[in-house]
Amino acid sequence: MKDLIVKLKKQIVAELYLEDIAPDEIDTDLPLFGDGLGLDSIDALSLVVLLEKEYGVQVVDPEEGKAILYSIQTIANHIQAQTGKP
Amino acid sequence: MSGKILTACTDIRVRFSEVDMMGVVWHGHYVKFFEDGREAFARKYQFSYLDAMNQGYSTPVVKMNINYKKSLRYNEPATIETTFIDSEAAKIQYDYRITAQKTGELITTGSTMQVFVDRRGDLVLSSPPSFIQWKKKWGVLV
Repeated sequence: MKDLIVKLKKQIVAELYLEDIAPDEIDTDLPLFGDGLGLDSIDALSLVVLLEKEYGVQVVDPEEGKAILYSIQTIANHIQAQTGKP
Repeated sequence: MSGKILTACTDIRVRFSEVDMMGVVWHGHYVKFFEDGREAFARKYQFSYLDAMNQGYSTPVVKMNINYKKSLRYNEPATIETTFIDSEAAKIQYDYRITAQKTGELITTGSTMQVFVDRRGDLVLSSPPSFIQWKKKWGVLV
């Protein structure tokens, strides 16, 4: 799980071109949207593509998506639950 | 293998009501010119707002960029070129180029981004099947 979280942080910083923050500066439980990391709905769409391409995990339902994409931790939990990989 | 690039062109002529005190097209009107470009694109490639709405989606513009390079004056004819920019994400992106017909000069460039919103007002996270089918039909997605 720890390796997955480190990898996710790097991928998200790279995919969303986050220039002002280093991957290891992102708190694993920080909300990614709104007052947290400050991502927006367009970033959410890019995250969905990232999860599908890199992990084969689909996020379709908007309500479910809000919960899954809440933080790095919730994304990692979902990937682990879907793929069964630690 | 990359897909086809879809582009549509439409002509406009600057109206009296579109020029400002400096005698040139007021900067805000370019938003409408981009809309004209999108409408022309939709007619050419059967990709209209109404089709999306009939399938339960609205497609609001969430991001726009405009670069003003030259100006247009009253009664000047111009061409709006609208190009669809494909993305794996559930969004509709266009690039625009407005050129003066008489001189061929590039007047404005820009881009817009739209997302899909469902009937409940929620952001649609993955491309609707009809959008993917449309891309395949026109060779954008191969």
